[in-house]
Amino acid sequence: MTAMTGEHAVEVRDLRLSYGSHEVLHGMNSSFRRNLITALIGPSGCGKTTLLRCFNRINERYDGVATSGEVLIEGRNIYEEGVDLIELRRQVGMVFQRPNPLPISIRDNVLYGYRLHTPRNLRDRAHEDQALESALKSVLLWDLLKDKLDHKATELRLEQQQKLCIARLLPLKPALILMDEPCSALDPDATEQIENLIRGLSSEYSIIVVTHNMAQARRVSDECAFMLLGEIIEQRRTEDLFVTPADNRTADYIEGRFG
Amino acid sequence: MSAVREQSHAVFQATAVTLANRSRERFAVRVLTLITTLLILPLIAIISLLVAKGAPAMSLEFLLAAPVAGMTAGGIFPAIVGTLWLVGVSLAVAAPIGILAAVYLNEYAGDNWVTRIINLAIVNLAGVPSIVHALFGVGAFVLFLGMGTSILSASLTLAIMTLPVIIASTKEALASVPLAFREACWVLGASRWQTIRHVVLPNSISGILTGVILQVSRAAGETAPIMFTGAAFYLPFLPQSVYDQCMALSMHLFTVSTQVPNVPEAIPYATALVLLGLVMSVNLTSILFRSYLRSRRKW
Ligand SMILES: Nc1ncnc2c1ncn2[C@@H]1O[C@H](COP(=O)(O)OP(=O)(O)OP(=O)(O)O)[C@@H](O)[C@H]1O
Ligand SMILES: [Mg+2]
Repeated sequence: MTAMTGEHAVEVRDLRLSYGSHEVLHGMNSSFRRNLITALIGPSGCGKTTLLRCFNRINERYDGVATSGEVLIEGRNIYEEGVDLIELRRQVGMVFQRPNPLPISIRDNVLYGYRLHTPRNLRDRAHEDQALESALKSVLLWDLLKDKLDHKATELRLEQQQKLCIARLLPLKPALILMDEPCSALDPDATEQIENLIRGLSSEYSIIVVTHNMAQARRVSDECAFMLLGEIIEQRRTEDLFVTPADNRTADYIEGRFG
Repeated sequence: MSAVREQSHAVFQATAVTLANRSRERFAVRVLTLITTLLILPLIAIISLLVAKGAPAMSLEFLLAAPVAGMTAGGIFPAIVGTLWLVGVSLAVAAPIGILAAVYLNEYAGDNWVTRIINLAIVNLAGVPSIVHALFGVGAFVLFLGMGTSILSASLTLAIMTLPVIIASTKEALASVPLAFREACWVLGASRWQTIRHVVLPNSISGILTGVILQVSRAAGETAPIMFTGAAFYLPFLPQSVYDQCMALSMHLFTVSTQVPNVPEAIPYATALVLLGLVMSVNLTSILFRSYLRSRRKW
């Protein structure tokens, strides 16, 4: 394994991806800084979700996807031979647009990933309880849910489900957390809660968050990347990108001249 | 101002057009309801006929005794036992193979020409008439593999017949598990097999079982596939193993209705009633079981 490459959590080199004959990413180069929140904005269909799914390689679970180029996470090219996808996905967590807790208890949901990666003989109740409590505390659900850990997670309110989906990543100690429009199914109140949560997590985790909502990108992110037609047009400190966009297309987009 | 008020009493009033639409709507609903209700008439008619005509022969002895006097008297116990054997063994073979094949096709196999050919084969196999399965069973199991006419040959023939349908219904049940659940597993680093075991199977088991159990009626009802492969016209003792022949309800029904002279009319009807009762109670059990499983899952 190569040594860690300093300040970047993710480096993308010449990344190409196509669905069948339809090329979506055309040789992208970029990097995402460690322990920061990077927002990925851009019009619908520009490839934000696709790019994000390259970072844990779940694109490959769908038929007809061809990828080339390099993505370095923690200094290692995850597309090189010998990379174990299961280990990769343990270290790169993902949160979806619609909360997708499993139809099992709250406890089993939070501990699902932890149990997958801990051999049966090393698991014990005390460890699990501790992991469960600390994960739920990190997402501010512990006080609410500590008495109903055996309830089904799918019966929770939507924003609680989404928090749970974040919480279940934490016992795995991921190096990187990917979020694909994590608030788009939520009301403004819940959105604010999740945004605060994301901010709180940024001291410990590198986070990339896709959003359609530019106000949200401004509120939540340290850096911001604007994507258009499968390319990153501009990527800078969020403040700078919104106040003094360098590219006309960025300016047009953030001023709402195309959507 | 007054013009507005003038209009306002006409607002939300039915016009000639909406009235005409509404009467057409009412007519359509009546026709559809009537047709749907008529559908249960044949079922009721069949059951009443069987009960009316079969009742005179129905007794505990009829269920628990062997046929006597050239099958013109006595009971049908060996046929009941034989049918249980045939259905049991054929499902014991077809259900695991069918479910595993469906899991492979739905969860592992990519969309390529090999998979397409397999799927095409399954669809076509489902359309093969049962008499052709019977001939295949004779050629493959009875003769080529040397199993002779036996419960094993007959059950394997039935298994081949039910397999494509089990695969198809299982695939459908698996496909109905939301992609979001699978994605949740993948991103946490679950292998495909872990995803299948922890999430896909537990959430599709009711659909899978329904598909399998529906094949009980098929396997129990068929005559052709077992006639040449393992079912006997008349066998006064019970089978001891899968290498024996056996009687079967469907076969017995065929025999006493068409092959044997001087059978009292009630006997075939009572036999049919037992066959139908057996199949319907299995189906009922599966419906109850499924609704129990459904009530436990919420998403
Ligand atoms: N599984 C797929 N198969 C084929 N084409 C796909 C697939 N997923 C996405 N695409 C195509 O790739 C392009 C980029 O899609 P992607 O979902 O990455 O965009 P996005 O930026 O996330 O859009 P949105 O903001 O609407 O979520 C689109 O043209 C889309 O139609
Ligand atoms: Mg998207």
